[in-house]
Amino acid sequence: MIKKLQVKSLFKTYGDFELNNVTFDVPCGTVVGLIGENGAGKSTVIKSILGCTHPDKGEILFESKNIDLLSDKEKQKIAFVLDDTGLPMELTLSELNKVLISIFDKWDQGKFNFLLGRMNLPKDKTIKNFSKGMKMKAAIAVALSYDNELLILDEPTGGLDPVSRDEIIEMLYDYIQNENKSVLISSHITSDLEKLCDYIVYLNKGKVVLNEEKDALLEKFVIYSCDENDLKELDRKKVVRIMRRAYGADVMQLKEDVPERFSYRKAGLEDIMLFYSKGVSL
Amino acid sequence: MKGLLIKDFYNIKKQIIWYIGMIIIFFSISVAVKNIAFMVSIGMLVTISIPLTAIAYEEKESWQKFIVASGMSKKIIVFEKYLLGLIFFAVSSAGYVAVFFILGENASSLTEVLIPVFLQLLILSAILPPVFKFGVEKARTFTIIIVVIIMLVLVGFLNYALNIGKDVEIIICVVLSIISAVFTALSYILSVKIYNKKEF
Repeated sequence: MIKKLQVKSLFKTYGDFELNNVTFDVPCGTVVGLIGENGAGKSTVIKSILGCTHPDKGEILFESKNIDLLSDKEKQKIAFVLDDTGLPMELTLSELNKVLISIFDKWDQGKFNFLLGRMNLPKDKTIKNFSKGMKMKAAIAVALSYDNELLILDEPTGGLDPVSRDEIIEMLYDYIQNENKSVLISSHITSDLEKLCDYIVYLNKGKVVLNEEKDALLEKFVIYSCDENDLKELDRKKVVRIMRRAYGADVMQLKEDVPERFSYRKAGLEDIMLFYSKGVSL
Repeated sequence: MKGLLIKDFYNIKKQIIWYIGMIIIFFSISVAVKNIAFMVSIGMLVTISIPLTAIAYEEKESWQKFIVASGMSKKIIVFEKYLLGLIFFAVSSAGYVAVFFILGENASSLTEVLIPVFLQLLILSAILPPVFKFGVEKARTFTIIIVVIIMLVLVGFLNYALNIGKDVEIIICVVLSIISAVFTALSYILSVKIYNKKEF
């Protein structure tokens, strides 16, 4: 499969935070979800890809070319939606249109106006007077209004109501109808990613813990409950993580390793995150 | 570049209108009381404040992260802030020169007009690199110190220059213009280096 983006052995240290050997790919025509709790390193990875921070070590390739060697025009093939949008708050969207037409080489103001209409965003109201959801939709409208091939979104649905989140996911569905386009989206709202993603990269404390196809990942782990006596009998090597409870423990394990006597349920992305971040080994 | 300038003009249009109003008022006062000092003081304030205000807004709105992520050359991003300062430098300087011509040579000497012109350029060039490095808020103390030092040096120099002959006056103005141009160019190069290393 052709790789749109490759992140190779990325290292970055900020005080006591460390991004440690982060490696993953975004294949062409796919949506990759970057998950992890707050402070796991998702934004640092995204800022490294966008050139907003300088990794200590490692390499990032866009269409097999080092991102540091991309021309200004080539960099515009990577669209982005920042967690804080980055839009100038004193401008109206019609003023913003006049600014961005001079910044993005392939800015399509017809499409921008169409998207504003579709999202019910007023053109003549200053952005600072928008709600959080409206600001985020405006940022997404900007990202979708110029010709690009990779869309990177940093927590686009964080803090939004379910209706706004759904509208944003709908727009992303539209974007990926073109098979040449790819998406990298970071979020800690895993339900959004379960709907949207083809691959999941899970970051925990700056390290890639899981990097797998979403459907396979959602089939991979299961969770069951057991008491203290059952716990003692479990094969430690086969238990991925446990979480202590009053009655004993909840156990996350590979589906094929679960002893027959336990009834289990599939682990969702949120469960997997929870067990890896809060759980312990047996 | 054009997009960045348009953005700044839209983003700080209220402040720009206010400053232009102040320029007109102080220009009128300077002409009425026959003293160029009023025009000079507001001109310097405007030249320095406009780019700093624009940068402060960008820091607050994370625009710098947006524009770097857009692939825009960092040289252009930095240059636009110098250009913004230079535009208002030109407006202020035009105001000084206009006052000078209205009042006539008896009211003020050429040196009295040109020293403030160089002064605002020197101050602008001195404060932009630390502002890019530390941000507007953190660089505030440094900015005040720089402004005071440069003003003291040049005002002292102005007192000396007022007592010299016309020929020397012209030579001094030429030398100061060269120093200001070189200082601005070096300041820009330093700011680009700072911006290249900056993280957003």
